[in-house]
Formats: sequence, C-alpha cells, structure tokens
Amino acid sequence: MERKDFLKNSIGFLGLAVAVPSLLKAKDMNGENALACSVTNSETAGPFPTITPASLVRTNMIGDRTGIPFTINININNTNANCAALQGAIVDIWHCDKDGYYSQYGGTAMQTVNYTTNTFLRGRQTTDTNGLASFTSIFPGWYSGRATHIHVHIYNAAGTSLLVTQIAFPEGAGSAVVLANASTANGYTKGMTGYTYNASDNVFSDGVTNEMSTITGSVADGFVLNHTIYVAGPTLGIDEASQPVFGLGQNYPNPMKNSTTIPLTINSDSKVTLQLFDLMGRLIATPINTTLSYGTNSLVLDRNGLSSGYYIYKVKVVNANGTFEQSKKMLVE
Amino acid sequence: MTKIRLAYRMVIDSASTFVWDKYIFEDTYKEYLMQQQLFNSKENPKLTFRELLSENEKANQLHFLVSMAANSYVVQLKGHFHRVSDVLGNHYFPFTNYELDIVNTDITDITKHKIGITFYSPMLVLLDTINHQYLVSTEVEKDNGFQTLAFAMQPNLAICYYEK
Repeated sequence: MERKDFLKNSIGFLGLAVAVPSLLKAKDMNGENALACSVTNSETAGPFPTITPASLVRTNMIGDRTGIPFTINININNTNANCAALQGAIVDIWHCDKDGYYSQYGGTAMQTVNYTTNTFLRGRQTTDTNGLASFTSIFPGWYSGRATHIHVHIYNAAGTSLLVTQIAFPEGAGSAVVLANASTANGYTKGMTGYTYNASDNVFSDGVTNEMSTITGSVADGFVLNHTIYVAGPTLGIDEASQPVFGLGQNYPNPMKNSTTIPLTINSDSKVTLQLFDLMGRLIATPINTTLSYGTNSLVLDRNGLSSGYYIYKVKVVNANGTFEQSKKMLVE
Repeated sequence: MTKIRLAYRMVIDSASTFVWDKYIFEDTYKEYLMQQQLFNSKENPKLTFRELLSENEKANQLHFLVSMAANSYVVQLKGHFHRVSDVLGNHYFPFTNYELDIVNTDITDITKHKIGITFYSPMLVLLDTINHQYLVSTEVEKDNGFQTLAFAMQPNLAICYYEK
C-alpha cells in the first residue's frame, strides 16, 4: 500500500472514530449524566415513582420474622406540659428477633439479605391524641451480654430528637421473658441459660424503675407490652391551661400492712381504673373501677390476702381530655 | 461452570434529574437528619457525615438506617433496574439485593447530600465475554441450552462475586 492510500484509509477510519463518542454520548443520556439539552428521559418501561414514606412507617414491623405475637403500646407524655399526653411525637423502635439478630447490613461488603426482607423489627409511628404509638411485632429473644430490651428513639413532630432510651422487661419465674424463651414450639431455642438479668445488664443495672414495662398475655395468645415514656416536649403556650390533668401520689403507708391509701387528683370527673401488677407483669387484681369526681380523691386498698413483695399499681384516668395512665411501685410487708 | 454476580452502582446527588432519584435524594436526607442524632453530639454536632464517622465509628450504621428511606422506592423497581439494559434493550438489569452508602452529607446543607446505591444481581452463569459484553444466564441450574442476556461492559458495572 502506498503511503498516500494508507493516509486516506486512515482518515476514513478516523471519520468513523468520530461517530463513536457521539454514540456513547447518546447512551449516556439514559444514564445519570443527563446532559443539559438531552431529550426528556422517558423512564423506559420503568416504574412510575410515587412518594412513599420511609419503610419504617408501619404498624406491623414483623417482616419475614417468626415468633410469639407481641403488641407494643408506648404512651408518650410531656414533662413540659404537666405530663399530659404528647400528640404528634414520632416514635422509632427497634428490637432483635427471636434469635437475637437485628436487621442491618451484614459484616461482609455485600448485602446478603434480600431487599424486600431486610427491614424487619424496626418501626415508626406518630403518637395519636392520647399520646399512644402501637406496634405489632414478635416477642424479642436475647443475645449475649444484654437483658431483653427494646430500643426507642422519640422525636418531636419536626424530627428533632427528644429522647433515646430502652424499655426493660420483667424477668424471673413465670415472666413473659421466661415463658417465651422456653417456647421451642415457636422457635425460641435459647432458654434462659446464659441470660443477662437486668441487675447485671450494663444499661439497666443502675435501676429500671423508669424503664420497666408491664407485660400481659400468654404464649398461646401472644403478649402485650404497655409502657409510658416521659419526654421533655414542647412547653405550654402562655394561654394554655397549666393545670395538671391528673396527679397520682405515692401510697401511704408504704410498705402497707393491712391497708394503704393512694392519693389521686383529677381536674374533671373521670372514669378511674386501678390495676395491680406483680413484678412479672401479671395482673393481680383490679380493685378500683369507678367514676370519681374532680378534686383530690383517696383510693383505699385493702390487703385482701396479698402476699408480701413489690407490686406496681397502674391508674388509668379517662375523661373528656383523653386517656391518661401512670404507674407507681409499692411494697407489701 | 463459572458463576458470577454483577453489581451496578449509581450515585444520587443534588444534580440528579430523574423523579425517582429526587424522591430518594429528599427522603434519605430527611432520614439522615433524624437518625444522625443517635450518634451526633447535641451541643457540638459534626456537620458532615465524614466528620461524624471519624469521631464515632458507630455512625457506620447510618448507611443502613438511611437506606430505610430508599427501600420503598427500590421496591417500586420490582427487581429490575431499567437504566441498565441488555444489548437488545428490552431486558433490564435484574437485582435481588441492594446496598445504600452515604458518600457524604451535611446537616446544614442539602446540596452536599450524596449517596450511592449498589444493585446486586442474582447468581448468574457467566458463559463468555464477547465483544466487551458479559454473556450471562439466570438459569444457574442448567448445564447447557441457556437463555442468555448480554450486558455491555460499562462504567459502574462490575463482577462482584466469582465462583468456578
């Protein structure tokens, strides 16, 4: 081939080569590097994106997990508004599955969990007018070094963090923790061997009075957890009533011998229920279930054959302003 | 028989134009603002994710926690990432898993927010590489007679798992 022809051919090739980058460019338009003047992308056969809330926003947070049905009711009260229920607070909770695992990225570089199932046992709810956020879950198992617990992160309506805390579970013979972990039929295999009790737990060992939940139910019917968390929420406006909705006092005498009195102040006529739980969270009795008039009331409890030990009394007040609950601990001698 | 997984990583930032990208951009930023409070100091918060990460290793969990906000959008794709098609143009990149990573972000400036999403294909049989294309099949159980897909080698597409 003569040099002249070679050059001609080469130019021909160069001419071809020029076309290639523009092809690449056209292809690029379908990618993320859309150019300023690119044809509006048709989202070829793609999905029609719709705004959907974070996967966390859901009542049922079970995902693909199995275990004993578990309802988690968390009441949020505001210490900056006389402990009234806090509406509109965002409540994030997360806990481990029956085997002690959380949903999270695996240790390897590659996500081994399928995208449709990797969000289990994490939930987010906004509290209703009664300050209640309710979740459907399964009873959590435990893992080495920790007592059974639920993580809670509470935000105000704007998403600003108010409190990060954990919920403790009653333990000991007959408690939900013991019953659930013995339930091999439901896949709980660990039992209580090697369990870290609240007293030696590094989070709860400084006392669990404020973090302790009450749990009712059974393995067959599922368990229900109730817990009230107090946060420093928005302060009351100048014109808002600053009168407390109700005030529950400590019983006296405490410890009680034959009878004890519980002071309860309410600012409007209310239906009042008083329930007595043992430390396992079992409901012992409902000695008071009546309508009381506003003002300070004295609720008198008789011993009625109660064995000695610690008990929790929970008072529920229902009136035109909503439903309010508060618990305190008492000792029977 | 050579088996592989392919991975494709896309980046979403304030310059992204697709609606799907914008929703994810906004929602993951909101989620970051909420979740970073778990790891950040209230009095003296670190503004960027990278600063926070260097101070508190546990902030690594934010990659996963923030992915929660993108999850419902990834589900909308129904297992096919349409922006990567095979050579014919009518089959799309199949994925079974994804992973979101925060490139960086700033709690005071949404324009600094930048995330990556990596889509992972199911296990594929790698039959050959022809003309800068991966010739693969999803029929991993077969020994012969495959339905095949050809994906062009391109930026951000890589083999992330290999098995002989």
